[in-house]
Amino acid sequence: MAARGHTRGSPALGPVGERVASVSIRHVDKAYGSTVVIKGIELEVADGEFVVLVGASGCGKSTLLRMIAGLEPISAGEIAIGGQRVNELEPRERDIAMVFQSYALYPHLNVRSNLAFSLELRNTPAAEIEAKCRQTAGVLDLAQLLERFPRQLSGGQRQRVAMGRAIVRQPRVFLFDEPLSNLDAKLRIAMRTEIRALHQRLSATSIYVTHDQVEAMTMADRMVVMNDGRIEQIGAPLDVYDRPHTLYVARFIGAPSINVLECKVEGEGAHASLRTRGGQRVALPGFVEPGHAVSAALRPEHLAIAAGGSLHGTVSVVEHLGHETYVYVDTADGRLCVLAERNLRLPPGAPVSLAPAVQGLHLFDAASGQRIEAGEARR
Amino acid sequence: MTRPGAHRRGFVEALNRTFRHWSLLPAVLVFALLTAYPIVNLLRMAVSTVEFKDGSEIWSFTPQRNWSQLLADTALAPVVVNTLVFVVVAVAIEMVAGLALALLIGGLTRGKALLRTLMIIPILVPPVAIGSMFKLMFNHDFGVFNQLLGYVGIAPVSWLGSTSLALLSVIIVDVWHWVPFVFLILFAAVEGLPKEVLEAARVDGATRGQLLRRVTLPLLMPALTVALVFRAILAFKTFDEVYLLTGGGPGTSSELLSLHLYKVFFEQNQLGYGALLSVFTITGVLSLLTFARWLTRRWALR
Repeated sequence: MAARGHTRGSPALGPVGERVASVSIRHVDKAYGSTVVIKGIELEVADGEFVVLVGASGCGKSTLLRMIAGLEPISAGEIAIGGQRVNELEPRERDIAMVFQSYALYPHLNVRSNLAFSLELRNTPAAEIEAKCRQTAGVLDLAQLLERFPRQLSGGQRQRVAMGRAIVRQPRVFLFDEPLSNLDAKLRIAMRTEIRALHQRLSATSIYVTHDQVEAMTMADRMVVMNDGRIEQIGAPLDVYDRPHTLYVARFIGAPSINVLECKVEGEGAHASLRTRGGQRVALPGFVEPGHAVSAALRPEHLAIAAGGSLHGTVSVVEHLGHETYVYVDTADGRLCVLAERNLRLPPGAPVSLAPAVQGLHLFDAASGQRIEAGEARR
Repeated sequence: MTRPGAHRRGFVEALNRTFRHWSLLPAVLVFALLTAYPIVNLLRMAVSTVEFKDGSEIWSFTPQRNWSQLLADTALAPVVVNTLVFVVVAVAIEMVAGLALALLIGGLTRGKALLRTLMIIPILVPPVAIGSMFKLMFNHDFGVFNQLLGYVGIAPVSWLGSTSLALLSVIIVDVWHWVPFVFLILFAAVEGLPKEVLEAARVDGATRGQLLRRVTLPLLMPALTVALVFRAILAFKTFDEVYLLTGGGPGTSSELLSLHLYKVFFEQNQLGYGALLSVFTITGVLSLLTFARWLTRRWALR
């Protein structure tokens, strides 16, 4: 799918320019009977932006995408594409293209007709259809497959046809509903990069739904973390990773998962520290109300195996991934994951102590899960 | 010394090797007795004259006589025309109505199961009951059809007694009886349509009409073919409705092939000629089947 020399800059598939449109989602709700599945979503997607909606299954991200597409009615609120309210418009009137998880190719049509379908519906002249199909097939490396039927294609090929069907139309907005979930891991990683490359070339507004946080991190200009029908956090991938607003986001983003220690704040002033439920101590980065119950979260890279560290445990499992090594340590507060030096060799059961990096410590209110900013230490 | 044992082992091995063939034997026997033998017998009868004398049947080989009887049968031409009209008109209406109902009910969000159950009822009614029921409804003096016509100021019509309406009346009953069958087959297919494909077409810009013509119908084509083939074959063999409603009359205006066969066999006692007629009917239905198969294959290849 990478751009090929002979098609690059072709007028039909170049940047869509003024046809690109923003998407505004204003206080949108979705209810099935009395069950509310989407609650007051606010989201502005700028022209040409690549936004990824990410969340666990059932969080409402696909429903939201289908509401943007017009496949699900909107219970309350407003969705606008290019400044125009689209709540009442049929999908075909919204000038959007969608790539489905199942690809949803027309099984009775060959690849060429699948690509041409939307153009034929718009009574595009035959010569133009042929030209656009050929260009799209060139971009997506489908030229050899034009006469094949969907059932004669591999999963990866079907996926590319689904992409082709979307880009051949040059819509104002691209919607992706978990388009890579049915591919094997290797192909998924390759397609991830190619979709990004394609987006950089077409610079079309794209909204991409996935449950895979790695996909979200690698592809998004901005990512929207959703949970239980609400938006937990919107931000650039690294911002969300470095400053999760809620414990849910902290746990959801990052692999291996962030380590969470349930703690109480003890002592005051310079002597204040966190006491974990397992009775261990972690230094505080700043002032927090004494007695406050907090969840302290630390990513694996913010824990180090070091003599004299404040957390103690025994080695459980060592995972060598090649470019990095993770050590799982059993402590009084459960199993913690540590990013360790690549060539580290430790036998299971070896006693180790862990030093938390104070600047990497995220604190969340134990009750609400909301982020707590530690104040200045002298307060 | 080892030879007898080796021999026995060879026999057991041969049995093991051929067991799958032997295990088919019961089915083959049943097939031969219940299907193959009657067909052979029918073919034999088709070229014979069978007479009953002194309590025994006497077969004589008379292919020429049966053949000329077929050519001389003046009732046959109108019967074949009636049958073709009946099959084409009834099946066409049933297919369109069944499809419309399947799409309509398939698009509902609630009440699907109830409607489907209600739709099955006509299939459950015994044909004799259907015949009696509709005979009353078609009655010239007190039938519900003529009463309804009366409300809009139209004079009563002789549904079953006029040569122009008798076949139509039989078609009406057949449609009532068999639309649910077509509906059931197509409803299952409609329910099994890939939802995301239809949604993709809507996003791609298809209007309702385009969606139906360019996506839904092509995807339903296998089920449509099955329903069509079943209905066409069954319609060719329709007997009970005609027998009970009109008896083929007035004259031969509503007589279909099956009824004609019945008359030749059981009223005229011409077993040889009847058998020949049956063979012709079977050949007709078989060619229809082959045509339908060819159609299905063509669709499958697309």
